[in-house]
Amino acid sequence: MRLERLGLPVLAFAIFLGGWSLAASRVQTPIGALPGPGQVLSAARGLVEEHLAERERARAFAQRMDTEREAALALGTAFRERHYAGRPTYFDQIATSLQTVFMGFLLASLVGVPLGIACGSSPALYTALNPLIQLFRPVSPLAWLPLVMILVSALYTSDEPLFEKSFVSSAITVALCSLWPTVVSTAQGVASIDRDHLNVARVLRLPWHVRVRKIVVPSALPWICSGLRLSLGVGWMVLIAAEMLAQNPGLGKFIWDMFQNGSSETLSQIVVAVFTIGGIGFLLDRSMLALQRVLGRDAHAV
Amino acid sequence: MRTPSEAAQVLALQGVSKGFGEGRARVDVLRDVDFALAEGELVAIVGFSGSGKTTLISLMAGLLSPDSGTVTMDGAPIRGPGPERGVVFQSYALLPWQTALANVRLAVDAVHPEWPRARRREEAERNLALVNLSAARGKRPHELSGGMRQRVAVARALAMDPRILLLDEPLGALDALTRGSLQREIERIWQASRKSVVLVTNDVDEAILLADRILPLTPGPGARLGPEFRVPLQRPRERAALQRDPTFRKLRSEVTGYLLALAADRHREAPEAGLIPPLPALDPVDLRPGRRGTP
Repeated sequence: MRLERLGLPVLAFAIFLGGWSLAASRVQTPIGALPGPGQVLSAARGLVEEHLAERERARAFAQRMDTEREAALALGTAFRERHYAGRPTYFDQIATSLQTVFMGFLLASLVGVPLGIACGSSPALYTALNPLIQLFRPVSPLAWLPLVMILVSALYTSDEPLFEKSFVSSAITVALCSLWPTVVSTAQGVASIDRDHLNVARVLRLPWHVRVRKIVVPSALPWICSGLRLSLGVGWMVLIAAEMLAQNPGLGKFIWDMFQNGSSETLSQIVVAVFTIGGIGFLLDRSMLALQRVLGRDAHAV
Repeated sequence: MRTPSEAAQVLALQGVSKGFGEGRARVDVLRDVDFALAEGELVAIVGFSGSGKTTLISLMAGLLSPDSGTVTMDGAPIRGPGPERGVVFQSYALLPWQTALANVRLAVDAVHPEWPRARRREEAERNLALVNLSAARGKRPHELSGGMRQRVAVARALAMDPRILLLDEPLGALDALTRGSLQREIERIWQASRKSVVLVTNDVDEAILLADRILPLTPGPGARLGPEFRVPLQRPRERAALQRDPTFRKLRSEVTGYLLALAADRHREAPEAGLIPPLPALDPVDLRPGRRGTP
């Protein structure tokens, strides 16, 4: 049994790699053959080296600034501080993507959990909002994004913006798409609270905020957690599309830029991005699962 | 012994009916129930499962409102539940994510929000000590036995400092030995606190052991309260000694006889009610070939 559990996935992966490399050499595109596993691995290595080289350049630049500053101080001449204007590396882009998805996820949670609690505790409100939820839930991020971008350009005007507009647009789009699982799951959790627990609250005449804090939220926590986990999954999936269109400097933009480049490296680097996106998505899901097991008091969540 | 006429009535039901559902699916659970509880009295309501005992106690608590009739406390109609009528729920309804102490503390905080923190904590500790559970204060309900959970529920109800304690089959889910020790504890707490208590139970012995009066609830639908049986036994009542007491035995056979006669009537009136038609003896067999488990 243990051998099966470990062996079968390894076997399946090996067959996948074999099939991929066989197929790769046979598929020709205008910018070269489809890359096999080997080329993708070397492209990944290339991206890591590029990142290290870029960091090295940044460090050298910082050192040069230091020496120039000291020299200027010694001579008493004017010194103008300059910032290193390197381009973002693959790892910077991953970091940007993660920041964007967490921002969107945070917005979605801040709206989704209270909205879900409200819907779950008031059947009338749920009946009223249900059609709207069903209407907006299936909307693609590609439909939201242009609307959001126009609204952000019109409304988010500041001389020293805290965030880039592309970042804000992408995060809001992620929030709009990933909101719904949290709302629906939270509402279900709140609606299925033990009647006797609510009766305890009624006998004690708990004010509504105490009722929410002491009974509703802890009761519905497993449902809230599973809703948040679904939301983060949706958010990560949606993010790549949003970044492509919004030109937010994350993984989506990376793929888009590679696609526009059309160099010999393009295909391998896109495949690297595909695996990166999959891997990070998997890790995000696992960390939400861990959270679900701790907060949701559900050791058997899968 | 006091009766409602001799002492002040704290809780009264007059002509109370309650049903659930609409149209043809409507079930009248209680029909025309009259009830009065005197100050400091312990009344047991005895009935079969499904006869509407929980509905009755929910009406007294104010968790349900009657379709017709009135529920009054000190002569004033009840408008919803409140801590002056502390409820011990059949399921205990303890918050599973909180410790025993925090469950009791919830009640203290709700009832005495103006007290300083230390005093509220002290009060919660005191109520937990009253049910001999101080040692388990840090445990969560799933770490406690059924009897201990039940005692936390009693402590929480006592912490509301209620005038009336409503106990909905408080010992129904417990084994016989635990029941016995908790019955003694309920009697002790009741005698110490002198609160008015309504105890709902399906155990006639338990009712006789604890109550001043016993009111049988006829089987639903349309349940009513039957004639009262007064319990003229001295307190404290000792369970073992009572088994040989002629008064106890006579009372038990009267109450049990009354309830059984009601049930027999019910079957004669509607033979299908409450009876499950016997199922044919079927033994499922997996007919798919080559499966494990098939001969």
